[in-house]
Amino acid sequence: MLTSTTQDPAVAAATTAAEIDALTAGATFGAALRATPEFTALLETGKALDADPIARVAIHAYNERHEDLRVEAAMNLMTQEQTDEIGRLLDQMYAVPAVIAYVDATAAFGALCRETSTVISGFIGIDFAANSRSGGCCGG
Amino acid sequence: MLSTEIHEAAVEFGRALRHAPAVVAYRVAQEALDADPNARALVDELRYVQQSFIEVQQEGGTPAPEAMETLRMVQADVRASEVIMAHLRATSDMKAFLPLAATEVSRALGTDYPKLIVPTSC
Repeated sequence: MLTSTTQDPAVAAATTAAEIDALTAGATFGAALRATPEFTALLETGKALDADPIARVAIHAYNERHEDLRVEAAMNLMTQEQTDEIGRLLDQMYAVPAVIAYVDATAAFGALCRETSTVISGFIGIDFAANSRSGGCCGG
Repeated sequence: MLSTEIHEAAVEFGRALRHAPAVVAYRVAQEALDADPNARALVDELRYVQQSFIEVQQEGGTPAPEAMETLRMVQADVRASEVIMAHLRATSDMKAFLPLAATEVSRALGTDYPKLIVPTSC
């Protein structure tokens, strides 16, 4: 928590109270997000994904090959055959209904969160998304 | 379109953040900077000089001694500007506080809220 640099106890107490209010409001807001149908859908599709053996096989196959070819991809050295293979595995993964449902739920909840972030930014006059991580929007 | 409940929760959070000392101080410092054309010009000059340095270094060169002296002078002017230094301090405090507030959201949500809201380009 930030501490006030002032020596006035009354001001310091008010500073701390305002910080606590903001942090408490953050927790209340997080709980409200957790209660949304979009978050419930995300949890449920996540569980369904974990329980679906076809989805697990497809995801594992894609992830494993993607990891194998990480260096080639990063250096733009993938052959056409490798590119086609990755594309095929990706298509197979996204053809599994449980994967589609999870991806859709993730997108829907992400959109909701970004919309809330816009509301918050409007109130504080600062880009909340860009300043919500230590070290900037990319973390660090 | 946000539901009423979630919109109100976001509004309440935004309102509470708006009154947080770090956010208040940042807004005051930003207004002071916006109102001071000399300070703004100094910030612009520093950015220009620093960018020139970067470009020379990216091309494999070494900045000329005159350019280094110019940079030192502009940096000294910036350090002497109370408006700019107050803005830097306020920015630093704001950037320390907002992640704390976002962490509280994540804690209650059970997942990383900042990760969900950062631009895709990040």
